[in-house]
Amino acid sequence: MSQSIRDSLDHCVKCTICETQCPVAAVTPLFPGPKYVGPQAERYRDASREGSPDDSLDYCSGCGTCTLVCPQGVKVAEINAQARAVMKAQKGVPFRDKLISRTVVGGRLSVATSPLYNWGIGVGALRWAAERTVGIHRRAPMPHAARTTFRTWVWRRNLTRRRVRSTHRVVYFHGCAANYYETELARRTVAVLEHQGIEVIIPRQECCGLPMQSNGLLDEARASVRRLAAQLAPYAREGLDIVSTSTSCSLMLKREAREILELEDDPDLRALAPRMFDICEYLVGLYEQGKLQTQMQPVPLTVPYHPPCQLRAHNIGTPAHRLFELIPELRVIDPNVTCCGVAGTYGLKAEKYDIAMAVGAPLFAQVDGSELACCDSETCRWQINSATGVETVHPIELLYRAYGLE
Amino acid sequence: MSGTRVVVIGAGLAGLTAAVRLGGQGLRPTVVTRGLGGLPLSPGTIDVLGYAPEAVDLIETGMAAFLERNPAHPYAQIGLDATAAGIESLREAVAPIEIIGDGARNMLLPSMLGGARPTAYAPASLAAGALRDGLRVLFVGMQALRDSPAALAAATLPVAAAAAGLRDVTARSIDVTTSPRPDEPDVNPVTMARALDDPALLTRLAAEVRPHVLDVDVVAFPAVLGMQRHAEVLADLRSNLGAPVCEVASVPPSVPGIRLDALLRDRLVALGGRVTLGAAAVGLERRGTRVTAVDLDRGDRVVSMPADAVVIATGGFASGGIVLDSHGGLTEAVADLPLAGDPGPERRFGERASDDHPGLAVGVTVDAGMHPLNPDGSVWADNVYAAGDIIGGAVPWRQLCGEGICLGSAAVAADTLVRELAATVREV
Ligand SMILES: Cc1cc2nc3c(=O)[nH]c(=O)nc-3n(C[C@H](O)[C@H](O)[C@H](O)COP(=O)(O)OP(=O)(O)OC[C@H]3O[C@@H](n4cnc5c(N)ncnc54)[C@H](O)[C@@H]3O)c2cc1C
Ligand code: SF4
Ligand code: SF4
Repeated sequence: MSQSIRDSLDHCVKCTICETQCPVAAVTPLFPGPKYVGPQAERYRDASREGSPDDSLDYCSGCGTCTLVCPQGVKVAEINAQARAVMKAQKGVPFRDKLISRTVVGGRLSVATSPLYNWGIGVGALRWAAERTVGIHRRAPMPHAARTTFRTWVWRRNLTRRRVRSTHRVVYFHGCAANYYETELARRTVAVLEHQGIEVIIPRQECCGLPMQSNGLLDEARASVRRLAAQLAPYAREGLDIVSTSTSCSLMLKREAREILELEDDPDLRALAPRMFDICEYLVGLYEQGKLQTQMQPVPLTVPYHPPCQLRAHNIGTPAHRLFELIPELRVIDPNVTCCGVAGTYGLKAEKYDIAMAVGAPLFAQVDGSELACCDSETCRWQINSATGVETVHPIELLYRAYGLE
Repeated sequence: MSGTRVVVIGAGLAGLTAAVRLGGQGLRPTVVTRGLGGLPLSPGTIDVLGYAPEAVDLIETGMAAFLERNPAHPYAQIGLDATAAGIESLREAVAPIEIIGDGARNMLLPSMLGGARPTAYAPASLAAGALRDGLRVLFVGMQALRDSPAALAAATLPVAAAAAGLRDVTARSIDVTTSPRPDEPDVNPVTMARALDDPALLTRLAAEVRPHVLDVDVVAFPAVLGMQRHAEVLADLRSNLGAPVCEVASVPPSVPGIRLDALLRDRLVALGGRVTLGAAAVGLERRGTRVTAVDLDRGDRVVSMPADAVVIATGGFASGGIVLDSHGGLTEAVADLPLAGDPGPERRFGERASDDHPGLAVGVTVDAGMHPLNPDGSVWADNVYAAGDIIGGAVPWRQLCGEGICLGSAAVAADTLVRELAATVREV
């Protein structure tokens, strides 16, 4: 276990604050809560022995709430993440978890077969079969695949050379979801950045390894994130900032890969981390320096905005709120809910689907009936959309409208 | 002043109260905090002064005598008026929960060990158990909750009440088996409280208790009577049992504290304030006599957060507001503010773990506007304020004064901040 996580363990005073805030323990007796499976059980985990003293660990969704609320700075979620990965690796990772971990392979396949894939995820019988055979819940949110990838668009863009050139350059790390599923978000992010007069560089990029990490495929996760870091680090060393629309993937590069995958000393990751920004965090930074375009047209909507747990784990608060304040006539409701339940791939799994839905229920109740909802994280958007039927977009989409870029 | 940036460090009772009070005056403070504060662990009562060291009945009189003996106590700067003002802010913020008490007299509340504990204010559910002459209490123990020893409470309470000067307080007890998770030997109080939001489980609990409600003035339950539906749960139980019902606080996690904590944070968000969790303040940037920014350690990097004024409400030892290094050195964690009361290298441990330790009263010294002071008595920075347990000179656990200090200092800090900020804006 990485040293910074290990050291934090001894600071636990058993105050129970994390127990009372864990959204999973609140809805199921199957999970005893962060303190038990984290700092407590960790003392009995022993690398030389097989297995975990507490299999219920598998029910931790990895939402990170426990780490956030702990007043003593114990990295509870990180302890859990690492122990869970080791447990899975020891027990053997089920085929289903391997499948949903391979976002690049899965993404390529679904884009290549997009009409068929998009039809398939809507067919009850096929979804039922998928639940029975691989254990992906029949009602779990599945994104629609794009017809062509974002990279194809980037390739064409480079050919036509129709792009902003400037001395203010940033790198866009789009991640897998924006490449295969939410390509429109990726294009609009580029448009919003270019609207600020910024030149956007979009290098080739691997998967950050997070889905593999959370499903126990540690070696694969390490290899993948190192390849990604090697692709992006040269820009960081040049002094360029890297922005991302994927909250969980950017957190991998900021912190998690080093902490959880024990890559503390990886020089590429170290160079990258201080230059990684969540897109809204970056835009707020520009605003504070007086460099953000604030000429905006009204967006007369009332939108519930859910800052996802993966964003909160950045420890940056909720920067989108600052941006929304700049948009005339936009009314934003804060549902004030910890987690939507899906927590990456957790809520897709047949045995966890009901738990994920129960966790998200208070959020869904507040989103229900809205014209539009907003959330920074892709899997959360799919979850909210599938649970409520309400179209759910990234904050960038609201800015895009406000700038009149449509 | 809506464009001004006010940062409150710490999300305990002091930080949250300061923030909602600032929010009530048109500012939109950002609370940055490493984690939640002590409220979810506290009994949910508002202690102003419980022991001086003798039990305090009339608070103003008790306070005057106490301050004569303890001139360096934070109340000497805060004053009871400020504490009353802080209580009003709290009352407004947690409105669905009624806070009982007039601040003139302490009430005595039964504890789950049968103690008679003085406190100035309490949520209505707890205050309903206030002891008085001739009170007949039925303690309900829940087998699923390990920390509800009803028989012990019933045996001890008459003795404790008599020692506190009350006559003829009597108590009986029963143990009930109702549980949302019958297979679990030890159900967390928070799980129990959430489960009792469900009318079906509540009806089962009431049915188990009802036959025993004879010749009692109050039925005392562990403090688990509902979370989201707390008010309804209380009302249902009262009408179902045909008798007054109260909650009795026990060890953490404390449901009454969690309810207040959640309501305060909701209120702050409703007022347009923000909470940034997970970020530790590790420095203040100064220009001359003013602080211009807070340095925040976010885990992956340290960033500078611009600030026009800062409230430090980081608590004491328990919350990391003050840190003790392995060489015995004491440091204020955010800005290395000067600390008073350091017993120095002679610092020793007592015979027993529960003995007083001189280090517990260590903290920053403040003026009447809650500005932290230098050892020579000058103000450390013009736009920095302290609130809560970080202020030295008190031993909250002994004196039962913690929440009163939090509320009073939060009220003063917020009001001084608003006044002084307005003055600087005018000057500019
Ligand atoms: C278990 C327990 C029970 C208690 N019971 C009683 C009681 O019954 N009666 C009584 O009078 N007193 C009691 N106390 C004393 C208690 O300390 C005070 O009454 C009160 O809780 C102090 O509140 P506060 O807001 O000042 O600080 P806290 O509630 O301690 O909050 C401090 C906050 O600051 C944050 N923080 C600390 N350092 C940093 C940093 N560097 N950067 C960012 N954030 C930081 C913490 O995460 C936390 O949110 C109890 C304390 C504990 C721990
Ligand atoms: S991990 Fe933190 S919040 Fe949880 S019990 Fe330990 S100290 Fe408390
Ligand atoms: S990461 Fe989330 S689900 Fe897991 S223990 Fe922590 S709070 Fe609970």
